[in-house]
Amino acid sequence: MTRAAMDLKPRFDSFLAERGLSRDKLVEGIDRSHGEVVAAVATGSGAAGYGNAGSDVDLIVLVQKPVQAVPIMSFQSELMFDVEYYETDHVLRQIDQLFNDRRSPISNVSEWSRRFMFIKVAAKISSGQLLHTDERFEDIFAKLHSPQFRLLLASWWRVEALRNCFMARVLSASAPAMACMLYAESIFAALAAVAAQGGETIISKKWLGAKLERIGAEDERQAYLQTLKLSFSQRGDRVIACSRLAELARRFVLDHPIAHRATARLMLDSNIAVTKLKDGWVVHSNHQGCKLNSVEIKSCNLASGEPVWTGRVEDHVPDLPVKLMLFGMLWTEIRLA
Amino acid sequence: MERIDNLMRWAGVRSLGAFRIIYTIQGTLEDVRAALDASQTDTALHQAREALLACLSIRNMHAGGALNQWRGEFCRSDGNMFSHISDDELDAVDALMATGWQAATDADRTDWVAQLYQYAADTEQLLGLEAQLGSLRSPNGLSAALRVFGELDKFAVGQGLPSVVPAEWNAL
Repeated sequence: MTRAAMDLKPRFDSFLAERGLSRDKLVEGIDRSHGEVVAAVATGSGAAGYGNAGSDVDLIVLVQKPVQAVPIMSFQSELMFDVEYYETDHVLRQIDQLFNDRRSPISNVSEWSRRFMFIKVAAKISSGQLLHTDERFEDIFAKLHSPQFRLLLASWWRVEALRNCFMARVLSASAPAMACMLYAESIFAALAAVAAQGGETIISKKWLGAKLERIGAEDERQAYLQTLKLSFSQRGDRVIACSRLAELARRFVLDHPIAHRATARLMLDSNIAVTKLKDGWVVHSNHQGCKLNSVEIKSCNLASGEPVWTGRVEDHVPDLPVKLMLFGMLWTEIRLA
Repeated sequence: MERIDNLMRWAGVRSLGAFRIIYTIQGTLEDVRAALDASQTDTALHQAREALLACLSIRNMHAGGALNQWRGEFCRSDGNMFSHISDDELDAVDALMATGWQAATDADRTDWVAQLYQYAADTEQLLGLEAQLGSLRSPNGLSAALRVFGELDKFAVGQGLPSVVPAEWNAL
């Protein structure tokens, strides 16, 4: 156990005591109707040492039976408990998979949601405090506290940084407000990677500044504050803000060895269909669509400056990817070499 | 009586917007207040930004932008959430964020938080709901809010609109 983790134990005990709780009381209070409890982990900002008076008590409970992954909220007096129940075998399998196929690219937003769900659960456990367990879970708990997991999480954030940076670059000329936001997300993700590698695995971005401060990454924390400041700008300053954010993204996202070996590929998202008409195509989901003269899928190398488009081209429309991206119909797949 | 020309869009904005207020904006604004009380300024500013972005996404749908599920702070690939937001409106949000950075005294900060809550309340009003939405994060509002979730989601999915419920709830 690291020194930081040891320091967090008494801090969490104080967090609980301030709320009239203890570790034992938390375990006693777990609803057994979901099945036998295999493990209980206190998660969230309280367990990670960032909590404040408004923080809830968050728990992840692993049980034997299949359960739905809906957070269950409850109250004792005015205190809110946010408890997530998961089936143990399923979580163990998924966490195993995270370690095994972490380099396979995500090719649509549904796959992203599924993969992110497990990254989030794993990160919550990793930044949490174990309240109760049997031996089946001890190994996994140790694995989620290993440097290997920190690298895995950092790699997830790096890919997210590249995805957002790529989208920002594509949209910067036509939609500067959106590009500013995407650049900001990209920088936040790159900084979250730094924090994860430094051992701060709590996933919520609201603690990013505090995480960077805790690991002593002062340059990165200043970049975080600057990014927060620049991400909304008055209309006259928006283009300038966008280029400043692009500069920060270059420093924290693109000037990283991973970026030089990565490629981005734009593709129609999996819930999008293309229907050919006599005079063009309709690209549509089940509730929105647009009519186009051409459909093309393009890719570009992130290491190059401006995106160089390649791929199938029919009746070339220069800004088609931009249009489709603005409609939310494209998915950006990031491939790491 | 008011004529509704596009019933599906009208209902979609109300369902998706109401869920976003209950599930994201209410909690995020409470985070701002709690973080300021604890002198966690970075967190307060981040959450203020999140709340304002979520409000803008509702205002964008209300003004005619694409109907989409809010994937929250982690995934922004659902299209341009500013497509139907005017420069004036963006400037107003920017000014609200700038106030947060400048708020030096406790009184300034209290006033800023009140402005954020007002902005969210004005956003909620655009949805034209019969009554103010309950708070998910209070004992009294929890069951009411859950009932609203159920009704809204059933309606949205039934109309072929994106589910109001986060995809991750069904991902396991």
